[in-house]
Amino acid sequence: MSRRAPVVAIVDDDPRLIESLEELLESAGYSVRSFPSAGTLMADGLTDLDLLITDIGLPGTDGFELRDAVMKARPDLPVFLITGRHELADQERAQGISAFFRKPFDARALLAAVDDAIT
Amino acid sequence: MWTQTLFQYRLALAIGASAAGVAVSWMTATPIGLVAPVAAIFLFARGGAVAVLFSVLAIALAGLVIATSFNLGGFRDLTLTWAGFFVVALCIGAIVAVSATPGADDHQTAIRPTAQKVAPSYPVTGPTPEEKAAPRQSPIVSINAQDDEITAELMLAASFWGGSPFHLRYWRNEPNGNCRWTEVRTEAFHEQNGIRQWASVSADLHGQRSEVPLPAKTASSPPVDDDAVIAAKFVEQLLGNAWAFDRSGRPTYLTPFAQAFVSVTLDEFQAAADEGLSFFRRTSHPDEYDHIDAAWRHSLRTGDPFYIERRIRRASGIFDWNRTAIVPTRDGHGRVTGWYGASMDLDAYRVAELALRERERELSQLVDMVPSHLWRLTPDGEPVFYSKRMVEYLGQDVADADERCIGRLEALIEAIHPDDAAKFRSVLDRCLLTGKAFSMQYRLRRADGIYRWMSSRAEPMRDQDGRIVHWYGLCHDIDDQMQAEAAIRQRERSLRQLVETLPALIYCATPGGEPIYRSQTLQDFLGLGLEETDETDETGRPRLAGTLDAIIHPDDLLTVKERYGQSLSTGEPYALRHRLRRFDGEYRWVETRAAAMRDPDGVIAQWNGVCLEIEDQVRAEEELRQVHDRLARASQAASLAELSASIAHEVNQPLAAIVANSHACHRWLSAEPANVERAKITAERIIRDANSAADVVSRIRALFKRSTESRSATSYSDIIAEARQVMADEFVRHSIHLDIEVANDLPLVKLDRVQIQQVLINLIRNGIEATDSNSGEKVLRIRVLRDEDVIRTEICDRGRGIACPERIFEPFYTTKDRGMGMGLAICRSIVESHGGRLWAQSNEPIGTTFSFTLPIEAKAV
Repeated sequence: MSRRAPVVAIVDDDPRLIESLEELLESAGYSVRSFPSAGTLMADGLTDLDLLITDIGLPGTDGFELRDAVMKARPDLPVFLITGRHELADQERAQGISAFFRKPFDARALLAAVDDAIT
Repeated sequence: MWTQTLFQYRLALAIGASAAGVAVSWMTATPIGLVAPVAAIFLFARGGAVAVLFSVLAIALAGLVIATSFNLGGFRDLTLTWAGFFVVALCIGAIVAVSATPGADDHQTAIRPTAQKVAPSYPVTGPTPEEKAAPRQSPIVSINAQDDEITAELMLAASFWGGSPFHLRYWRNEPNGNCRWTEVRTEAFHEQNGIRQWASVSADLHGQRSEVPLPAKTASSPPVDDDAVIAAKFVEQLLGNAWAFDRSGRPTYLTPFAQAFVSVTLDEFQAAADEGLSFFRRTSHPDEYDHIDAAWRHSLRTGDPFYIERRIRRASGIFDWNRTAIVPTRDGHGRVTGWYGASMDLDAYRVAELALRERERELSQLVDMVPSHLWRLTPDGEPVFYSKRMVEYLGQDVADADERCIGRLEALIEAIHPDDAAKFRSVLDRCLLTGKAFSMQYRLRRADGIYRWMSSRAEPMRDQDGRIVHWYGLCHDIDDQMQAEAAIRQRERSLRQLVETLPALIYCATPGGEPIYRSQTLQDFLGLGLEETDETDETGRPRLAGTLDAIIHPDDLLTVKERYGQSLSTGEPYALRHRLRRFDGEYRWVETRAAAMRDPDGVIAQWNGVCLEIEDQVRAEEELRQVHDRLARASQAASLAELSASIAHEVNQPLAAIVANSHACHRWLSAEPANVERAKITAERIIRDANSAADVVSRIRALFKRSTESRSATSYSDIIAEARQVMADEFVRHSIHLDIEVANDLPLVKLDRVQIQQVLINLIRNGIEATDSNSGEKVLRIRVLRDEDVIRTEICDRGRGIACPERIFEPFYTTKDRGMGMGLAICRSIVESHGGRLWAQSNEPIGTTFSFTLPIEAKAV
């Protein structure tokens, strides 16, 4: 049976980055849903998502809080954090999180990680 | 009358006659011619001499008559001839003597020629020539004119023996034969050695003679011949002045002199006595009469001799002091039969005595009134006299010690404060022994028991042989003065204590800066006083320089000398922080402030300085500064990190997009079949995002871009001075001496004041930090000079130097642990934006010189 394409949700307040990630993930065969903020994502619901990639620096609820919220609602949903501010990655609460990407991230490695996480 | 011409005429006549007589005698060989010289001799002989001549002639005649009678020697003719000669000579002599004696018929010859003998002693009064011609009486008492001379002589004798003043008026014969009414006053003076002298003044009273004759009185003494009168006459012979009284005290005899002296006749005295008044009524001073009268009556009643000193009214109405003595005569049964006596003048004695008493009174008043104690000691130191004030002060007199049976000196020493007594005794003993003047200050107990400070001096009085007769001392109360001095000393002490206990190091210096005083705290701090720094030290340097070299930290010495010298020359207050060498060799930070103390004329009298130890403060400041610096650097670092994070984020966003798009693009093109459409879209996005990233960089550049609008024509010297001021503390803190030299002819330049100051401060701070790392001489040199059309500024340090003079201007290149490496890059960019250049070069042997130029015509970049 033909499997439906895995759905990856992206939360970022920078439209250019959303565009480029959609392009990258779609080029790799994923279905992408983009949200400008955590709130819009939560409003849309997490039900049929296979992976979440979220920026940390977000207006309102930030990436860490969104991840925590998602972990409660869907503990099985993999969450990738990305950030352009490297100092955030150095923070303590970021320690231990493997799925952490610093902008500019290695696209190949990101795709590999996504693939790895979904399967 | 006796005139000079007459005298000369007579003399010539006498000599001529004598010569002729002698010649005749010689020629005739008979003595008859000798009658002429005999007559001439008689012409000049007076009184006794005439008698002698008569006697000689008479004896010779008698001798010749006898010789003739007995025919002795067979010269009968010769002796007869000589006897005849002597008879003739006697007759001639008698005639001549009579004719030469003043005659009543001739006024000119009535006045005796012996004017010198009579003139000074002529009696109380005398007649005018007219009065003399007529029978007369003395105008005061009716003494016969013939007695005038006797009276005068008696008065002279009384004056001479009794020392009484001799005072009379008389007619003085004039050489021209006239007489003048004259007064003479003669006083006896007694010198200390007992010799008497007489001083005489005579005055011509001729014009003052009263036309009215004085009442004539007759002095007479009845021929009573009792014992008293006989005794009185003996006295009279001695003194020329005597009285006799009967048993009841009624005068019975008074010498003419006694009557003349008081101008009272015996009759008048007797009349008074008959009225029941005593003898003294007429002549006593009214104040004294009563007690004299009482004493006289007492003597009359008891027979006691009457001795009294009294004032007697003289004929002139003047009262003179005299001594009157009247003693009784007694019969065989001891009964008083009468009284006799006399008075002797005492006026001179009384006057002298009064004067003496007055002087003594004044002296003792002086001694008593002098506001000091006067005292006198024997050569052995035994007090013999204390002045009244001293007696009052001590509450004891010299003699009081005798009653207490202790030595007089002991009694005095008892009154001296126990702490001073031993010294007093030893000083006095030494003085008594050596004869040197005594001088001492001691406390003396007052009668009320209070001790007061005295200043005492004594000196010996010596006799002609140099032996000490007495010690005369003066003792002056100086207690108030001592108290005042003690108060001053106390105040001085408390001021000194104040100075010494102030938690500061205090010193004073001469106007030239030489130290003259160091407070104890300062001496303790330095471990040396003034005496240990001589005028010059062993190398011959002046004390000031030597002192400064010894106590000022070598790194501060240059600055201290410069600033101190500046203050000394200008009089401006001095204030500086520097390190001072402590006694243990450790240098401590102090803040020294000094100001000039000026005299009323404004001339600097001395410098007073205070030196506060601020080691703790400096350390605290240092620590604070370090903390501050760390904080500043941390915050600088933090803001830089933030800035770079922001920049990174701004750049990373488009970069991340570019990376993702590039990868997607690659995937679209690599797909089978290649999705060119999507690849194109992603490629466009890549271009867009790359531009976006470039924009970010542009925006950042724009952020740092400096404007040229704030530039204005500015004095570069002012900017240098400001930068120097801003950095002044740093220099002090790092003990670095700033050697700065700014050219005078700098023109105004158009520049951004704040930016150029940033450059200067940055380069100076680098210089300080570089110098600080060096252990050698800590000097930072700044030169500002004009070099053609630019101003060149050189900042030259003696640091370790730099390896790559060009690399240091690259951004983020740093040799410092914590620097961000932007300073010099920014500096260069600022300088270049002003159209100048900034570069660095290494110094020989050590250090680095940073130089930058600013064009005089600054151009905007």
